[in-house]
Amino acid sequence: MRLLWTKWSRLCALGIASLSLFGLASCQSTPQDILAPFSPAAELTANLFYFVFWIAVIIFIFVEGLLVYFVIRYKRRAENEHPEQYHGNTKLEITWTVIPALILVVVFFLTIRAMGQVGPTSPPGQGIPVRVIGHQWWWEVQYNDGKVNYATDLHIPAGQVVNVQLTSENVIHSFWVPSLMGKTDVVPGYTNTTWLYTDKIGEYSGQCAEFCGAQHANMLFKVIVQSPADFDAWLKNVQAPAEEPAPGSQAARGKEMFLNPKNACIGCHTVDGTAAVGVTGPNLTHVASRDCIAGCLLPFDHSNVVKWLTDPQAVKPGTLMRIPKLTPDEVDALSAYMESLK
Amino acid sequence: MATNVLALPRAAEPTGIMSWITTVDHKRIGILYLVTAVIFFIIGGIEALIIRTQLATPSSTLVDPATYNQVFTMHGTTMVFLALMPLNSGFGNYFVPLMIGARDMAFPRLNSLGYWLFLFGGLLLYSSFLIGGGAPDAGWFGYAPLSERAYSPTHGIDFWILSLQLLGISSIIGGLNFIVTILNMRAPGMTLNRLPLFVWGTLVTSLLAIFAIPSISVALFLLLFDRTFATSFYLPGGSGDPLLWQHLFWFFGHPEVYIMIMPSFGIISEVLATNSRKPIFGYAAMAFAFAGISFVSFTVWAHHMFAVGMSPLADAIFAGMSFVVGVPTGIKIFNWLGTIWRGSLRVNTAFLFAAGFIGQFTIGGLGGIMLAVVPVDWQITDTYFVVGHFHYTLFAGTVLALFAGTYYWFPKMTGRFLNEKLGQIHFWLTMVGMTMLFLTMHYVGVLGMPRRIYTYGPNMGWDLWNLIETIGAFIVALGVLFFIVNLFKSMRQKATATNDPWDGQTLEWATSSPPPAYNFASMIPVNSPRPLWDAKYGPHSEFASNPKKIDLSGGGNANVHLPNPSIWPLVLTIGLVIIAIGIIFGFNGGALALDISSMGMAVQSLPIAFAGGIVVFFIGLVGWIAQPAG
Repeated sequence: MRLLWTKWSRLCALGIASLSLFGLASCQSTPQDILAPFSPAAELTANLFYFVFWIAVIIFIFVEGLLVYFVIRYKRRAENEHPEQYHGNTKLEITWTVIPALILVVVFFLTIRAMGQVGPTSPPGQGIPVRVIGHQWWWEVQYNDGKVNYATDLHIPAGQVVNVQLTSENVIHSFWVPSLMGKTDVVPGYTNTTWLYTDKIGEYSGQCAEFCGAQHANMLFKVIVQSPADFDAWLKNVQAPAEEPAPGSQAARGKEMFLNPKNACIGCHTVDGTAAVGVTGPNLTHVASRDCIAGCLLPFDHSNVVKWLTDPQAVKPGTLMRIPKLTPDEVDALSAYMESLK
Repeated sequence: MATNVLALPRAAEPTGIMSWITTVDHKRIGILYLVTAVIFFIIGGIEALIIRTQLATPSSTLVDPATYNQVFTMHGTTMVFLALMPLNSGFGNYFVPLMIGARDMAFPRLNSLGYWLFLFGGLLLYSSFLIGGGAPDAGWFGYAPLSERAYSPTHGIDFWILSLQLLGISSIIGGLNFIVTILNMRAPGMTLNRLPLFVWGTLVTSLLAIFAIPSISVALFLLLFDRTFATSFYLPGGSGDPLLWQHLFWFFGHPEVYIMIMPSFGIISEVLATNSRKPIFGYAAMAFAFAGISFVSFTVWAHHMFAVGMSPLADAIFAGMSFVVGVPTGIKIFNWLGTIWRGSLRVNTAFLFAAGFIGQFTIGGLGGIMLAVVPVDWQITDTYFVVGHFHYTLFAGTVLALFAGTYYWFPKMTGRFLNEKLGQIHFWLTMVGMTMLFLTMHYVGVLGMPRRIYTYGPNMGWDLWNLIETIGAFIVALGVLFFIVNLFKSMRQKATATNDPWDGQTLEWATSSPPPAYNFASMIPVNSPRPLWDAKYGPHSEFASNPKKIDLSGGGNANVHLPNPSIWPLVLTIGLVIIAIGIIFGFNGGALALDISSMGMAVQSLPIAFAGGIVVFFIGLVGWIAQPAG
């Protein structure tokens, strides 16, 4: 889990010095705070942010101080006041051209250096290849050259470089896990690359950062960093074929409904080992092992699966998920099947 | 000069609605621009309030996502193309000829055409709500392929494309008109190195416009072809490239920022110098900074694209050029501080807005530096940090300057003062509101809130900040309400403004308030950037306690030859609008070739609208050519 206390103490310390508002809000969790890094790349970026930020603050205070002082000091006292008619001052003008230029040269140098360290095209090494595909409006995740096809949760092992290949099926998206790594756009027709590396086990929230249509706001995902052993166990599980529901069970009835073309499920979804081989929607072979559904808008649990299958448009207006109106009984059966796909 | 027996009677001010529709007087066209743009500014502001109300609370359902996307697309498009650009054009139209001592713009009828294209371009865009099946919904930046018909099937984007083309033509001819006017029609002695900085700003903006806008015009035509003729310029499947759109768009889009703000830099310079009773500090450096920043603005477009996967070398070059922008920006800030330093400051509303501009725009500039740091940009691009940043340049920059300009020039345009008390309430509400609104956006961006999202979960830690932003937005809106009330209230008062109420320095104050149709009956000599100041206080700009009274009345009604009013620019515009509608409804997504039934419809509707529009266009053109220029 996220190390909330670090965040809390850091922000609350800031809060003491600043407004009480800050203190109040800092006790809220902020899972996408770019200044709460959980990877070396995000940490380096955050430090660079702070460095430039404090330069900016100093310049800001200098300018505002002069401005306020001048306005108060030189306010017109008498209608016939006659100030001296300064047209300029070459020395001053050269000074305030050269000093900012020098500061910017330093910042430029730091920028170039950091780009080499955290750039999406300069990974610290070759590690596990993962393919992430942007859809409207969910993320597909593939391991082992597409042999493992998963959605919404990106599992990675701690302490290993993960090379991410990014492609899009439709419009432009942007892959972003603020705690771990900056954005890389996912552009149709291109294969962009980025990488992830952290040794901190936990779950980190990510989100599509390029406007991609009606449900851009809810194109969420999670990066789940596991110990290498846990990761291997997980990968082994999702490579196995789907679990077969016990005959006569509610789930078996759900499976029948799922495979019935009338319900339109198999047009878009795949469950390995069945007749369902659709590819436009998420692969559901191990959907019950996922943390979340509906583009990671809802945590995976019974009530949410029911909610989603009852009326997806009410949950995510504009979603491409289409399902005929089912009776509550049918929804229960179908969700029982989904919950059986561990 | 001997009495001219051929003097035309048009020197007298005509009245009535037809006189406004057919006007070619740069001052009236300026007022038409300003009034229309203020109305669009209010509409864009209402859209902003819808956005802010939706985001005030997490998981809000005030508007559905489809509507939200239309509203933020229209907010951006409206503010950029229908509010800020035409507000600058309005002030430019009114004051550039006055400040350079000219009778009018170089091409008065072209000037009128520019206004009508702006008005009808705006109306065309907004008609998409009613007849387009929905407004455009792909953002003001219209990234392909999201703006392609497969992902945005309504006619909204088609309306967006064609209205932006009309607005683009308007801006290009407006720009050409300003350039020719400024280069050719200056009063004797008004050399380029004596141009008031507002005129410099307008000149630079016009140059930017004529070089930048063709890029988006081309980009829009390619998108139109993709959408209507099923070409694939931006579709990867058909060997097109989505990034082509981004390059073409931002090659326009970044200079566009400076198109919107250069005149504002000029306004601030005028307001500060006049209200300090000093010349602008470092005039030459300022003019060079204007020109320099504009040139550099053509070399930084891809800093909007650091995350698209360009090579590290390209990223580094565009970052480096972006840092370069910081230098002339710094020069400007410090020169403005130098202008008020040891001045005699009249702290009225116009001055407050100008000082507020310096204070707030600085934040915009510093935020820009942070965004040019590429690794930091990878984190904060496309978050609310960017939204906060560019509102600090366009709101704290352009809008504050436009308010300053309004309080400063209103007496010249109407002969009436705006109320100072209401003005100061307006100022302080704006300062407090915009800080709550836009500074907070930076912070919520750092907390990872992406832009263009219609809602967010309650577990993200963004709620409080969004609520503060929304309250700030309504405070800004309240300030604008005070401003509008002030405008109406002041117009109902007696005209008490003298020719030169602020002890001005430039030529617009050397004629009556409001100026006569012919602007100047006689011209004072121009020997410096401050001709009026020289005329009042002596040629060496030494302050005299008893300024000279300058009589510029020229004996009342001067016999000045003025251009004929003309209806033809309006006719020509209407023709273009009908052609645009013909294109939108005449073809449909390349279906012409595929579907017989839709082909039947297309064939029917196409000739009627399209050909009708062409006929009207040519009637306008022929009428224009046949009419004597005056």
